[in-house]
Amino acid sequence: MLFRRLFLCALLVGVASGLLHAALQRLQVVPLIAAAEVHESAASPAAPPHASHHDAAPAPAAAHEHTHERPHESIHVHEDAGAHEHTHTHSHDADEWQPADGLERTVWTIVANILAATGYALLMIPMLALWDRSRGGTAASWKTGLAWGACAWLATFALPGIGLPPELPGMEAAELRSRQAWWLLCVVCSGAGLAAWLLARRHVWAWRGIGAVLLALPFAVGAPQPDGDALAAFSGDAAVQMHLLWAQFIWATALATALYWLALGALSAVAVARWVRPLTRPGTLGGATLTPAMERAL
Amino acid sequence: MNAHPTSLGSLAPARTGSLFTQIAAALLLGAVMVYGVEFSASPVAHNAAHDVRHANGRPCH
Repeated sequence: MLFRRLFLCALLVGVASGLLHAALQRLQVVPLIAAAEVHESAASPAAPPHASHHDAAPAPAAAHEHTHERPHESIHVHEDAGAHEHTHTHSHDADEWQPADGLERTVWTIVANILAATGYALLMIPMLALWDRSRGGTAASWKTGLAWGACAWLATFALPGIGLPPELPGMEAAELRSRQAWWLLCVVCSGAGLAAWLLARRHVWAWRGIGAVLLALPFAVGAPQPDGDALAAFSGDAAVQMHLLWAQFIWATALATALYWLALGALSAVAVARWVRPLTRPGTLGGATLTPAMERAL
Repeated sequence: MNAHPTSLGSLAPARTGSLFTQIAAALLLGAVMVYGVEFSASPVAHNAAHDVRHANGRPCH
């Protein structure tokens, strides 16, 4: 069954590329997040969005709540509902479950990387399979997979990152839902725009025009931006350090995600060529009949 | 993978579900998984995947 095979291929690709991504993050990205959280913890009691929750609390207690030592022992004492009032503005509060620092947090990061990579492989592999099928079952290879991975990196990281650069913990930003909506708009438009630009075989210049419009559209709409400086919560030496960490973080995440997407694309294409193509090659499926117009559209 | 695909037992169910239905189902499952890890507002999902959301450049807080 095609679905089962797509799923098993995605799982294989997802485990391999997710583990690779987790290893790359471990080297460069996670240490920067941890360093930013130290500054975030120090700045939080005085930071405008979070300070109001602690008006009545003595300063040392407030500082303790925002440390990222993951104080599990303090979770269990806040059983009364009143203590939960302030959880939703700052998601690091101890009231909700969170993995303990160290091994538990690392394990959940690995699991989340594998789940995300498997999810993206489940998007990448079916699209590669359709593309491969539309080219007579000869197109998918590790080389074309690298190109698909590069385009996926552009569409999911680099182009959205122009409007919404990768954030470190503690940075101010516009409202979460509006940023997620713009990110989704940018990824869909970028993916469709790149596909229109690169995959068209007929009316190529018309498709390139459509592709250019799609690529420009999210930036014409504009990404939601914070009211002030993204690092307004930090002052003095912490602000200097956070600016340095942020610059390093953008480069570290760009490199790690690029290698991850190249691996995900190449492995997906190899999986399509080996295991999916026999089920999708034109004429091999009794149930699937395509009109010539549909074949051209693919 | 097989020079005679019609001999594959796994081809039999393909007649009931068309190519595009199965492709669409895989795409849908992938979208749900990505949403769960990278965008779900559930605090548990957020905290478990926190570092991955930041590392992938997704809006997180």
